Amino acid sequence: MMGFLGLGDQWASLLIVFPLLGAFLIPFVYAFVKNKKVSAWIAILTTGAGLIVAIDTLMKVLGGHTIEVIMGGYIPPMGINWRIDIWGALLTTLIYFIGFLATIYSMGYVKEDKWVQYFATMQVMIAGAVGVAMTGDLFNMFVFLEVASIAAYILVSTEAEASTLEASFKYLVLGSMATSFILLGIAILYGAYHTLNIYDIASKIGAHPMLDITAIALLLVGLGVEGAMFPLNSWLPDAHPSAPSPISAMLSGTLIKIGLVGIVRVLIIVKNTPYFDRILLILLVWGILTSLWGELSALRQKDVKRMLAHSSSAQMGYIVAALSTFTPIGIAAALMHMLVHALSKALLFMSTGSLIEGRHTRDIEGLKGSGRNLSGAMYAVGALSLMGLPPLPGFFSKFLILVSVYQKWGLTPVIFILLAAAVEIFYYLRLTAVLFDVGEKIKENGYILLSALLLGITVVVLGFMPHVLEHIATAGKDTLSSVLPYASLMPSGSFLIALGLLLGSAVICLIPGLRVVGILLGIGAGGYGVYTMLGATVPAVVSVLAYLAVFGVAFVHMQGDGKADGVKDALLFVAFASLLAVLNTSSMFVLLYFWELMSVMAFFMFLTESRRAMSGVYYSTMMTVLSYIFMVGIVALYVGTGSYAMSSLSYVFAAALVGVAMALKLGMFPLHVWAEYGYKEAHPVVAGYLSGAVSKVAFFLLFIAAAYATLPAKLNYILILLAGITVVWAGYRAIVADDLMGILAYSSISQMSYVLAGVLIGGAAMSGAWLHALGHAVFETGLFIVAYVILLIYGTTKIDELRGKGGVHPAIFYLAIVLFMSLAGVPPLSGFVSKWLMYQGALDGGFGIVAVLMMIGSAMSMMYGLRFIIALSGKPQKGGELSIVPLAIYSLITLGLGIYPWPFFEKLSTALAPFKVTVPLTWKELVLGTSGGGKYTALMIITLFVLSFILFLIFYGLSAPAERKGKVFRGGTFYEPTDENLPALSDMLWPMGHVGQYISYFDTWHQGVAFLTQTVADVLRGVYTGYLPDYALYVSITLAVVLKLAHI
Amino acid sequence: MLSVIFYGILMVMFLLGLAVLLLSKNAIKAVMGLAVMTTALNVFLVSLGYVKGGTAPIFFDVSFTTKAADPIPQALTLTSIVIDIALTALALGFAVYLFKKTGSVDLRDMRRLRG
Repeated sequence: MMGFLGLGDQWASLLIVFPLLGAFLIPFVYAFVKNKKVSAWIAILTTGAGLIVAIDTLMKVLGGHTIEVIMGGYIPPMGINWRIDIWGALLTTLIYFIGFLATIYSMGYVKEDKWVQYFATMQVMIAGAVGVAMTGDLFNMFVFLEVASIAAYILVSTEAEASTLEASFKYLVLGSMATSFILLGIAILYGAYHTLNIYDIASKIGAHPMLDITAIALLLVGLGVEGAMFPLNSWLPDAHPSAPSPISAMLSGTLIKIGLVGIVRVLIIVKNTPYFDRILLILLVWGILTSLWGELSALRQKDVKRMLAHSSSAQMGYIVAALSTFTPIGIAAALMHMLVHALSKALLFMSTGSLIEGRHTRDIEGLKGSGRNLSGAMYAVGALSLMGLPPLPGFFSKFLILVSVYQKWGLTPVIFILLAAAVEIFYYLRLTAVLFDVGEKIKENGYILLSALLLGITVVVLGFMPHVLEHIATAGKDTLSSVLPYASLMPSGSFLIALGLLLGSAVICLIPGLRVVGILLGIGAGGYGVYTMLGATVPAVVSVLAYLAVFGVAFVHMQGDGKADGVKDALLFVAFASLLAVLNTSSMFVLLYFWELMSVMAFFMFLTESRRAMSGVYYSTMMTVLSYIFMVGIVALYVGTGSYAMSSLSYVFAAALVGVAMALKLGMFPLHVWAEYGYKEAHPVVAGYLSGAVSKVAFFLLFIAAAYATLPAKLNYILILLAGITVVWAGYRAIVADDLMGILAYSSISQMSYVLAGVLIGGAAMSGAWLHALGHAVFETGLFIVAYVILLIYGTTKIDELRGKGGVHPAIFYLAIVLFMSLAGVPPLSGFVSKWLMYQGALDGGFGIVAVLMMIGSAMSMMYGLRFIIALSGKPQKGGELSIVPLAIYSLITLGLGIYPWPFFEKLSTALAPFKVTVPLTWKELVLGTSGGGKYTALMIITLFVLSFILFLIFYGLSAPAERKGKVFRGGTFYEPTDENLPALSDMLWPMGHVGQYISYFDTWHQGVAFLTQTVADVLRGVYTGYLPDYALYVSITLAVVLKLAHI
Repeated sequence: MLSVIFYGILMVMFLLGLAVLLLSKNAIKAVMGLAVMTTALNVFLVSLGYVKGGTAPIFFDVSFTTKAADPIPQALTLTSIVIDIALTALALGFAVYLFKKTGSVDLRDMRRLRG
């Protein structure tokens, strides 16, 4: 389309002609036609035409062509010119795209009697915004800014209610203050250099440093108001929610970006001055402050649109932080996040707008359960994208922001950014949980749905086409392949086929009636996936462990028949596909991507049942904090070594971060508290998957971190000790749990802590850890399956409610005992061998105290095992017979490995050989140890065994007389012991009641953190007092501060 | 010296407008403060084009050596004045509308949206 009508580059000026023409035509035509529908069609026509020109312009710019448009035939610097770089072209395209969709959307949202003035004003706003994006002239920028702003002030008050008028008025006064600062800055620059052309000023600046800095500070503050920088953004949480949803989408999606593009222009002006770095530093601090404040302000909002508005300014903070690096990667990150945020936030406003229209409320509680429809799905797409979760495009942009900021400014700002992002994760997940709750259905409007869907599809497609993102973010240079190696995300060969089969089975699971077929296919496909990876390698071993668990839970889940069950199965297979992808790569970037995808699937598994949804929110938020530590490790890996290769983990700092993140993922003290939400509150099948399969992947990552890098001795010691403490602590929590799921949750944590300690100790403990990991996959999953059977039969897993009932099929009962014995380390089951090896390794490695802790943990596992078994000991009941198959397989595996573990150790020794880890192979080595102290070690183990048994007897004996005296402490509360609330034999724990009280209080530390965060959030958002002079004061103070900082 | 006094007065005027914005509790007064600010700004802007002894920059029949005022700031100022009028009118419109809806233009009453 180049040279259309012989206009050449001048063609781009149509971008401003179309909307202005539309703004003129809409009332003009209405005056004759008297049909309001025509206004909408004119608006669609002009924005659509503009969109085509905008895309063409963007294509040209991406082709390496900077477009110069000269106005009125005067050559710059005398005349006004547009110089369309990638910022302008991208923003223009976004304005037109979102504007086009918002126009369609408005036809279903805005009352028809307002259409003429509404659509005309919207056209003016588009024209103004486009002008700011593209102009190369400072005064021209000011004028277009005013044009866009005035239109925005009017559009905010479309509803003309007291609150919207108030929002408009405040927006107007603050916006005018901002533009007068901008104009003052421009005037000063003109007085100094007698030119208004941005590039001309950039070449001349520096002659009058005092004037320059003053002007730059004025411009930055003025543009900061438009760009929603804290504390200049006080108008934003009023104005964006007050507007009708399509306008909110335009304001949050595109209009605040013109402030950003203005800031970019300022940076271009000052690029070659000596105080450039100082301004970048100001922007960094400013950006981080904005994101922290914005996210915390959004945290406690009750109005959904206000929450989204606060989140918008937080996102601007991230973009500005990326921009403050002004490195190629940083600029790419800022551009990419500008694109992602514009689309995602517009999508969020449009989708929630549909729900708001359906329920006639903006209150979050009022929207409860309205999201189980297409609008809700679109909301989820937008939210996940903003949270930076794969497979949506936000993942790439947020990751890029972290890399760029880390590269230029180091670790500290990255930590702050991630703290803000963690808050964001929480409130978006919470809103997701609320919307996907069960509730009254709503009616969706066709126009609204159409535009939201188009936008949602765009977001999803961009997520799967990261090369497009890269192409845009680098202005066509495609230079991100080393920092974003997205090409390696695509698996290949038979492994790809296996993943495809898994996804296919997931789809079949969703078809009513074909669920069982889908599950069987999924089990087969999963097996095929594991088969393609088979070999004596570490990932292969781990994939087999994970498959054991997934096979079991998927198989027994065929017994369920609820509607949510099919969704759960589908999610399970998608999650397993990403789990295999995590294992089947040697690039830490790919690993991170699929790791996050796996976490997303876990969250949605919680969502399938509304009563578990909030637990899923807490669990996923905690997991996010962990994956942020992991992510920083990978960012550090890239910045430190320039590569994502797994072997680069020899870079100790990165490996340490990965190791710590995974240790916490395995439930290491003090972050074991997530078990309360993760394993305990999950559906038993989900918990079985998380505990059996996902924790093995965490174990795998911990292993490679520890194998490639020698972790600092102190860190290693602390981790081992904490793991030992976790063994006992979680063991205790399992003992006092009031729910079978609680017992299993904490026992899973306790047992994985053995593994964690074993890997870090090394030597014999390492081989013990691997065997125990296998055992854990088998016995924990098996026991979760037993809990599922109980849930199937009795509808509850609470010990109180099972009292006097609780019977299961005798075979299941028996197999549960076998699995628990293995867990507790009773010979001849595999748990005995693995625990023995770990005790021996701990003693050999000089970790006697950890060995003692492990022993105590084993004694404890006897106790909670007993409680579990007793709860099952009622009269035999029919139900859940299908579970016998996996349980029998699991029992055979643990028995076989207990008697004859050599084949496993042989495979393991081949697999571990590249890591220079050896495993003992003979009984002699097992029992006597390889070193001189072998016999002594064996003696110690036997002594400790006896001691632990005596300990067990003491606990048991002490507990007996305490029956029915005083209150009983269980599961975090005191009970008056009556027949109702005192389950059989649970009062044997009475002597530990007081200890339990304090321990349980300590385990609520995360609630303290949550409470503190909420309090801080409430205090912080108190700055938005609603009183206009306060807001004006913020602007003045900020100006003073920026002036002061810039003049240092 | 004269110019120092001149720019000083403009600065005081600008700050005066800002002060009204910061201190007044009345929406109409806030708009007035804004107007005072922008007026100061406009005077500043037009003064940038001042050339001592220069004539108006619109004559064709003068020699190249004749001093003339810089025309650009004058154009800018005109544009800026137009924008300011629009803004003031719009702001007052909002205020009137608000008064009709709520019976008050007190900024202390306009705190429905906060937090």
